[in-house]
Amino acid sequence: MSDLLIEILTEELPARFVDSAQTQLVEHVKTHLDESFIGHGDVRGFSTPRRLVVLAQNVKEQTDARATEVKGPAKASSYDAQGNPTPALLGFCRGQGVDVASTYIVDVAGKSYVYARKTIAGQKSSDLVETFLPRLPHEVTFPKMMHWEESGFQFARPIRGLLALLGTDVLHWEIAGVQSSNTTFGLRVGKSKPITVISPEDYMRKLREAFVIVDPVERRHLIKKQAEKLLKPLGFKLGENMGDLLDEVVNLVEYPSAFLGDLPSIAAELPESVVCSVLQQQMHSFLLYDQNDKVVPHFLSVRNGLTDFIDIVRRGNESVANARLLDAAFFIQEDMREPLETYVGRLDTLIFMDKLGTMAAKTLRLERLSARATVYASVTPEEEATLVAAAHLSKADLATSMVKEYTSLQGEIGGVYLSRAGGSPEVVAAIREQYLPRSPSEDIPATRAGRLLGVIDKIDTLTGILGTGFNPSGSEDPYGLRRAGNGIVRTIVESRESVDLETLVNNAIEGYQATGSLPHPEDLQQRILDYLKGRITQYFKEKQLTQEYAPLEYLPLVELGSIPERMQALHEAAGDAVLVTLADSHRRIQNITKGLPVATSLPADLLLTDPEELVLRQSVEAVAPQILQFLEVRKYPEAIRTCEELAVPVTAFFDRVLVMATDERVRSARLLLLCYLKYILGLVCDYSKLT
Amino acid sequence: MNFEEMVSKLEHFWEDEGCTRLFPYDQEVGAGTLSPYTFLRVLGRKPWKAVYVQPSRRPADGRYGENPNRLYMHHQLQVIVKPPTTDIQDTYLRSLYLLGLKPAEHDIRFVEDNWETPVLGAAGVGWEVWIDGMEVTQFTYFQQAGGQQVPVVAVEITYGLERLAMFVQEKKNVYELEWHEGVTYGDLRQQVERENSIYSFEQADIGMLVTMFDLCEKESQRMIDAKLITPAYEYLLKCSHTFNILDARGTVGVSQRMAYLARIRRLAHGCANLYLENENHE
Repeated sequence: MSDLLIEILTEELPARFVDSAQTQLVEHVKTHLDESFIGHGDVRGFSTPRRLVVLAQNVKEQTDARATEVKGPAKASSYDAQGNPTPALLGFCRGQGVDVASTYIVDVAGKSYVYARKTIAGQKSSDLVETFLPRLPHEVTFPKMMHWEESGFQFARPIRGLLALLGTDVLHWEIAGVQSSNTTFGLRVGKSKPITVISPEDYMRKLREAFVIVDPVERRHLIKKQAEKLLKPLGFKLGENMGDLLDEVVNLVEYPSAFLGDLPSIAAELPESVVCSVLQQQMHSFLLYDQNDKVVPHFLSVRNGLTDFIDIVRRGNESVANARLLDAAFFIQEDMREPLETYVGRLDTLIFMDKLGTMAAKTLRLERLSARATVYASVTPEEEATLVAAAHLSKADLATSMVKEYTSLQGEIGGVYLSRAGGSPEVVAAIREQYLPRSPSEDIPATRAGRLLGVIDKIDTLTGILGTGFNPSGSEDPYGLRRAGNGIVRTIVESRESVDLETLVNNAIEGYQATGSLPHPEDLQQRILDYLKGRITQYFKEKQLTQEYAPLEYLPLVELGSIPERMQALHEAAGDAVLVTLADSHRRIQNITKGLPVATSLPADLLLTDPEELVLRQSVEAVAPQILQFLEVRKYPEAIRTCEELAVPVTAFFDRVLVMATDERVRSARLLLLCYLKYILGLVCDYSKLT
Repeated sequence: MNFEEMVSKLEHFWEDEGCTRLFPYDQEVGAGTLSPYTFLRVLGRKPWKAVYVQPSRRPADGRYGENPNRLYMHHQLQVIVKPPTTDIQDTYLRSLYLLGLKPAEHDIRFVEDNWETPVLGAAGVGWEVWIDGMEVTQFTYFQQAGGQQVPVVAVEITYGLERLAMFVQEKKNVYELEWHEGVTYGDLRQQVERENSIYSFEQADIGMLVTMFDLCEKESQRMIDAKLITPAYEYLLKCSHTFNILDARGTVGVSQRMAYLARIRRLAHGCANLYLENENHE
């Protein structure tokens, strides 16, 4: 047994593509090995910005001989009228190397076919691997591909070398004009000389000697260790949530050397968010903090290469930081010549989205929605006033030079400018927080106005885009709808905010109609709500919360924010023995009423006569108003306890009453009673999902 | 090494690599890509290797000669290699070493940066090249031009000459660069920068520019119809520069802006098609 090593050497891959490409390649190699019946051990992936590598351990040199069954021609065309084999059958047998006498007939879907059993001899693994190698680069996909030579083959960046070794055997393959060889290249330092490798172990060793650490996990670890060594004596630390940046840096270097640089004095005069943006996004460097979480005037950066001459690299990076921060300071100074209000007037020069008008129109819609906040959310008049003021200024910073240059600072810059001009802290906070959460790891807005502004902004976006007729199915999300949807759901659920989404969506649609028209308004409210329900389901799935907390079939969307409290209440009631009975009954009710319309009330003249069904009706009608009342005031433990009173009558009902009576009127009366019961229980929770 | 020496070294380097050394195109352009030496020559199947300096005017980037980094007009050294050689990255790196840059002393990186000019229907993928964090070159594989997938890929290497010179001469202010012994960048350019900034932000006659755009557009279209590529393209360049001044002047509203861009795009596609038609006839 030997190890199999495969390397695709490329020009610098975009950092954001590397991890996924490595994973894909490993999966494909595994699949090919298995499909070729090649025995193997662990299959691991490695990568750097310039290479994708797979190492399969303990690959058998030969595959085992194995028996297999081969399907031949149909019986009807295999034998002539005299029962002699036809040329078709003879050809099949010749091709498979079997005797006619050894074939047999098998029925497949009512038709008879000739089959043959044959033994496939063991094959050389190297031959089999060589067959699948050229397919590998075709199988790896990237979010953005390119072509560079005449065959038109597409990859993330040009492939410049191919290498595959099975033990010491050099395997041969070719793709996009590149021939495989037994050489690779090390870290780019001056004239690149090819490195000849004789085995997988030799490859790992020689690359390390040539300053390439192929394992991204090791590079990550190294960077962390180097950072710690530099920071610890000074009492500094990296900021929170640096994982994504670290992942990116890992894939920007083949051989990391961390170093510290000094921030220029101008940094102290700039908002922290601006310095952070410049360093992290433009320079892939880390802002540093002291033990009290105060920014210190230094940064940490990672060089691709050795620590030799690192002072030159440091000085270069320091002067770039200086130039970029000076540039930012210049923009801020220019922007602040005018109050934020002035920029509101310039929003008519900015397109919100194709076919959806300008940012000025969006601002008007947000103001209009804010002024109606009391209709769909429980806000005080003061909160509403804050919201309206924030909505008016919310998009103004998009017209500033600073945000045009640093788009990720939208919201933040508006907040900074308004705050420096002495604006109200509540309005400042709302403007700052409106785009949160930008990622699953980021917190939702901390203030009420920030949350509501964020929600109405995202609802407005959702309304506009779905109103253009865009169909959000599939994995692509060109307009960021998923993020908007997830943001709405997370904000409401995690803040327990009470927002009537149906009313809000209706108002948002009206907003568009007031300023112009949407190309595809048909079923719009339903489409938006359905989209949101999809995001809610996804949210609970990702949180690994079971369905009982989100009985969306009955639960109006207005109740979205109540879900955490409902969860808590149900959690507390989990010990109640009667819940088990109720869950059973709820399941039976759901099965028997499947597909029937929701009943939100009971007619007076329902044809019910059996004692058990009369008792059940009385019980339901007695507790229903109480349950509704408890839900209204968000007393969920009480609502659950009240539901429990139905456990006994509903069990008795199922024990004694035959729901599917032959008399159609009796049957439908009983089903209607159960539908109503299902509705009432469902408002509290989906008991049927409890186990 | 002063500015002119640096430029001449780079030009000769690429000349030795087989590129035709050309003079800057004698019209205002926003980038070296707009020169017909790039825009037209990357179309079609014909091989093409060229190197040329292109002064590039971006009226909106003017800073009255006061900003150490931003300019109304900067200089690009543009290299086109079509089809690209397999060691094109190494060749480019050698051109940097030629400027005295020692690879072991610096951190040279290729950082993803894709480039797109919808107005020209052109797009490419590639990198910004960083030296110790400073972006000095845009390195692009053309994928689309004139709204179509290119049949033969060209590599476009655009050196930002001021940036590179600031790096080589270790200067923090562009105007302190030495252009020729005893002559600074500021001596040559600062007053010009100031005047052109005042012109494009404050003085430009909007009515005149609007009329000029219309006239040039008409003439370009007329030449497309007459199948004369060069005059058609030269009038397109006039449209493009005229629009850039209007844009800097801050008078172009959003829908107007889209309309102007669409008009330029139409001409660009017309010229591209004409060029390809011609090549097919040959």
